[in-house]
Amino acid sequence: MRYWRSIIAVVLLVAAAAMTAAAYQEAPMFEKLVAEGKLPPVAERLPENPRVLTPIDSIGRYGGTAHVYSNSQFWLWSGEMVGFEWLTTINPDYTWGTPNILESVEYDPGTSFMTLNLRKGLKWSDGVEFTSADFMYHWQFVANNKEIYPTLPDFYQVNGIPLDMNALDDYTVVLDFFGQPNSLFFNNLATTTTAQDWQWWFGMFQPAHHAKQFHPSFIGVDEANDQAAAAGYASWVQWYWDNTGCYFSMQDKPYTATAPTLTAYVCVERTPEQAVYERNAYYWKVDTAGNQLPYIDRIILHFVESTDVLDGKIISGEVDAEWISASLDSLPVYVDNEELGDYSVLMWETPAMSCLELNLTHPDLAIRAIFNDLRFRQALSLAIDRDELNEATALGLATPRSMSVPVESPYYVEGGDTAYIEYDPTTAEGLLDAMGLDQKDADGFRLRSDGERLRLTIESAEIAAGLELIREYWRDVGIDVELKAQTQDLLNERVAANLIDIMPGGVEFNIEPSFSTLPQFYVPLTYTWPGLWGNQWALYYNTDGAQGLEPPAEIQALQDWYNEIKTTATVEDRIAPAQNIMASMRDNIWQIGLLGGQPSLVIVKNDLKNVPEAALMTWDLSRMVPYNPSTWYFEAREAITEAWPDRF
Amino acid sequence: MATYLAGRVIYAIVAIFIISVISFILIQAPPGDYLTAQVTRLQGSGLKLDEAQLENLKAQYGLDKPLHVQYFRWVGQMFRGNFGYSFYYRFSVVYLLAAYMPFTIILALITLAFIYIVSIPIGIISAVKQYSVLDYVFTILGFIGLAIPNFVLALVVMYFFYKTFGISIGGLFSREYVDAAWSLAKFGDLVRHLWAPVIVVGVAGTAGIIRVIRATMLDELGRDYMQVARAKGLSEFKLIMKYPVRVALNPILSTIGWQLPNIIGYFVIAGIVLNLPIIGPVLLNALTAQDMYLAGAIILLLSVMTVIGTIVSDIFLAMADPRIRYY
Repeated sequence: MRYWRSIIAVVLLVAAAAMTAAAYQEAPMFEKLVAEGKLPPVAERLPENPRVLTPIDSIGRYGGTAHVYSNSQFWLWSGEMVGFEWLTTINPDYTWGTPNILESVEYDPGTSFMTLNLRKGLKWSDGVEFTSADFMYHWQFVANNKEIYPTLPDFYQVNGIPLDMNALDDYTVVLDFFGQPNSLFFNNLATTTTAQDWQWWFGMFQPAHHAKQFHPSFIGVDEANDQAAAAGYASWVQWYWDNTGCYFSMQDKPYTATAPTLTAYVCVERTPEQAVYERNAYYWKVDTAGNQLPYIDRIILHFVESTDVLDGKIISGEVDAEWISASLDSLPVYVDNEELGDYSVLMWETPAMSCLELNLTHPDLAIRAIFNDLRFRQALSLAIDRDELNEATALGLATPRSMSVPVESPYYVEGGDTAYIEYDPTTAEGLLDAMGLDQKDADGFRLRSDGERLRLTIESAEIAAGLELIREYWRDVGIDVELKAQTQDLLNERVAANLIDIMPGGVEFNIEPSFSTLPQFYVPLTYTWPGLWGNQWALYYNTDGAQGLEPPAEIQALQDWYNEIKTTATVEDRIAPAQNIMASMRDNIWQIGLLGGQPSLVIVKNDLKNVPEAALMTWDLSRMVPYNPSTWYFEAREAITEAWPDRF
Repeated sequence: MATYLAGRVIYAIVAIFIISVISFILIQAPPGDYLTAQVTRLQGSGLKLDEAQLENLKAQYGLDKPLHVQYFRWVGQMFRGNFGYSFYYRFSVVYLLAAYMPFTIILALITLAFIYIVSIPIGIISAVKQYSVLDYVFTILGFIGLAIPNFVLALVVMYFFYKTFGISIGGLFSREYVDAAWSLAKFGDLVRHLWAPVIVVGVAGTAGIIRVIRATMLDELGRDYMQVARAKGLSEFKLIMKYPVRVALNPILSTIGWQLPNIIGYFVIAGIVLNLPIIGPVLLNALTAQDMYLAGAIILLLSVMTVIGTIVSDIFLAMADPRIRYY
């Protein structure tokens, strides 16, 4: 019996091997082009070892146009269906480094060498091979160009020491950290946030063959300046970025006008009203049956002026998929029209949570002393009826929480999410009395030690219903709170100038990789928006003590733990310092947590298949990236057989 | 007349220059600039950017220069037909104006026609039949139209059109026609979508003009020359159309100049709610994103339209009413 089993296994293995070696299938769109010789056969377009994706429900079929909508011209986030491609990916279960663009990564914590192995034969969307030269070009002529980057981007340095990059051969890139332990660099291979450079999310490479046409080192400084000026740019750098851009979906210019990409789709038309994307002939992923992905032929991203219009489009069934602008406020409307619009509303999880930030380095010394009294923060937290807040602002779908990473996180500490969240105004009043705020004026509001009424203002860009409730809760325990709406710009300036008492905050990206990269919501690291709570301590940290306030010992400890996280040898070594940070948050209520685990709505048309029913949604995982939109397909929409005019 | 015209044109040029300076300063008045606004957003999602990098970006965008240098650079480029680059939309400003202005003007003209065609006869009728049922009905309707914010009306009309006629919500075209070449079907689709914005914005404009015409007409109807004309046997219709109506049109003619920019202004909020591919929402986006070249160009364009419109209406007025003197 056992004997037979192993024979079957061998046969299956051989069959699998034969299948990968055998012909890959491609979309009808390209068949004619291949026959006419305008496009190489699919086997030549794919790398030797394409990434194989397993569709979650079923092998799909080719065809259809997906209509997606965005209410912002600047953030083409609804274009996320087009996809992001990172060197590796982080998975929702906190496992690291599933190779994506890369075939594999080797890291030796001992020597701190990191080796990136590329997929042989992987090609840019224009058919040119993707090699180590694309890394070396970026390293030499972009990252180290003083006009583009006056200082080397942060993530290329450990403890201020820049890494070195070398190509061993066409398919092997070696990073040398000079003995500095740097497990954090895994984040940079797989991330949405750390490798961000201004508006371009560039990764560590660019299509050298294309980008060289716009770089002064190759065309001459005068030529670059002239061309940039003729195109209306203030400098060649902006002109360079606009023409070479980033290598993936944020590209929003027609294919012929912009850099080649590695994404599943390329842009073929862009007007102020819409962007049209069509399948990338050289996309380097296949499904388990050997079909070249993606399944869907085209994606049209329509721009609308407001979320109201977007909601209208959703309920009338014009939106094929939406997961960014669909708001919980509109949930009842979405659900009411599910049948009419022939779509489903899926409720996914998020690690996000909301909080209130007290300015612990307040310029008014009396207020600073009050805010730094732990009993005050405990009292404010106990005075809030989070269940009512949940009902009023999140339809009861969120969970009352103190400021913490999610329970699933390896950094979670026992009790971290339940500290002082019960509604107990009596205890709150007792704590306030005990700390010396027991004197009240004629209106029943508590007085500071100098006899003045304790007045606090919560400033925010918009006054949400939740804030009005909080004002009432805090007034009930005798604290005079006002709300003030500002424009975001003014708010930024006031945060930077340290003029704000209290501000609503919240962490949207509460897991890796942001947590280790910049846990600004748990450690005072940012002194500009959104960094209010330890504003001056963060300034002190960032200027090496030249400006700001010297932090007290327990804040110093937080910053030290963060420094430790940044330079651990392995991913596992981060857990201890990160848990210390979380325990400090739990014990000190540095910020007042409100609600967490609010569902994130995903709206999909009923004929769109392979979309998970429930999953974790966060920008940390590049939102949809783990769920592979290239494997989504339409049940019966017709395949497009002609490529976009003049594309090939 | 020639000197009058020349004088007006010189004033107009001075006015446009002053407007361009003021609008450029006003756009820059809020704290921060385009760059700081965007950097803030990115910082919220974990971007780290040090001072040196920020300064470098400012230099790349030309935002590090003093205001007057930026202004003259802007104006200087404009004379060469370069209106600059929209940071927010990432298109050249000229391209955006070319994409949005035609529909904006068409829509504004149709709305203007709608306003005049509806309001002038109603104004006349409600003056002639003062305190009649018709007068009351029109007055009430007019005030309701004036009182309802047009974005509310827009939402109601949009929902109504979707529920009763199945016309897709928002926009000037159904999805399949947005990108299609012009055809009879596309034109039909446009006409189907035009109703909503024209009514929504037109209703508010109508009410004002009805009131103006009614009031001026009432002033004229009691005048002695009316008695004289009646005594001489002029038919009532001819009498009203020839004398009081002509006088009542004066305020309309003298405001015709800024009606167009006015209507474009009405269309900012309504345009957002109705998702119209017109310049109003673009202006709002540009202002909130501090996208100064785009906002500046639009404001300047609207100002130029107002100034030219004023000259035209001055000329109309001088021709229609010989009592008006010019210097």
